[in-house]
Amino acid sequence: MQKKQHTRDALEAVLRQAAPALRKADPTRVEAACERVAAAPSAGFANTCEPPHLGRLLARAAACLVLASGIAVLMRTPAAPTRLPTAPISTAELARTFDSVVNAPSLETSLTTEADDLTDDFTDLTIAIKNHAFSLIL
Amino acid sequence: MRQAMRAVAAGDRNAFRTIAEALEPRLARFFAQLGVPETDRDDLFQESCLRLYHAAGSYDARRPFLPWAMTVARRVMLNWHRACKPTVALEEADAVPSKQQGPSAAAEADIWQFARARLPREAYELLWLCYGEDFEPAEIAAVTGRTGVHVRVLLHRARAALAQALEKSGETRFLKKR
Repeated sequence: MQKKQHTRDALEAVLRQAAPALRKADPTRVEAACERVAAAPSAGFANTCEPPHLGRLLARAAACLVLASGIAVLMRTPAAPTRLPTAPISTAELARTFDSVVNAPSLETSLTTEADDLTDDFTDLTIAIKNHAFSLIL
Repeated sequence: MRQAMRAVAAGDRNAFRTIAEALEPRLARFFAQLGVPETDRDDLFQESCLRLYHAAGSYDARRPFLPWAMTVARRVMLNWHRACKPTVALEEADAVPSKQQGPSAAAEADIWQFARARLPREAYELLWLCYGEDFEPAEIAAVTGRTGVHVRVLLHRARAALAQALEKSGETRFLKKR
């Protein structure tokens, strides 16, 4: 590992040292390039990338505003529910009401009918399964 | 350099001279290292300058100038390489003598010539940008259009390939020069 690191360091140092140094600018070449640029049609780019962009700043401000309002909505504590004044209910009256609902004849009848229906359905299902199973065996 | 570029973007063409003077030696060296012959370096430099001038409006002065200019110059050079690629009909391909010299034929005065003769062009270019131009991996990534991690990996591989080539050919003289 150390040998590898040593080789790498040596290699990097040699590469850096061996890189040819920069010479002086060639005036002929520079002149030719400048002439070509001078002859080129105007690019018409004045201040197209001048920081800071107003549009970008506005967009950032709008994004911050939206974010802040979102956070405010999330952090808002729910308001305590307003209690409506209720009339006191006596225990005896409540028991009577409950009894009348549970012991109503209509409820009892409908429950009985429902139970009968379920029993019939189960019977039909059992018969169908039995027949089907036997048909498969036979 | 950034000031000059800002002035150019504002419409001052004379300010471009400062940029051209600063860039010329650097681009000449870059083109030479990447195999552009002397006769074509003039054209490539002028073309690069023209592109830089036209792109002056898109230059963000908050970013370093040199990697941006190198990116433009590199693209010009790649286009040139593409245009220079010789095309020969498949039937005549065998008759064309290979221009590429073997590694032993190259006069390897320094490690850069040794590396150029043995490494692929992409690997050599990365090594040059890192150790020749002293660019950071992030800057190299911007110039070559890769990610920073990819550049680091490719640099590691290029170094390893070069070290292996040196070891294989017994050329330890480069490493002993220090």
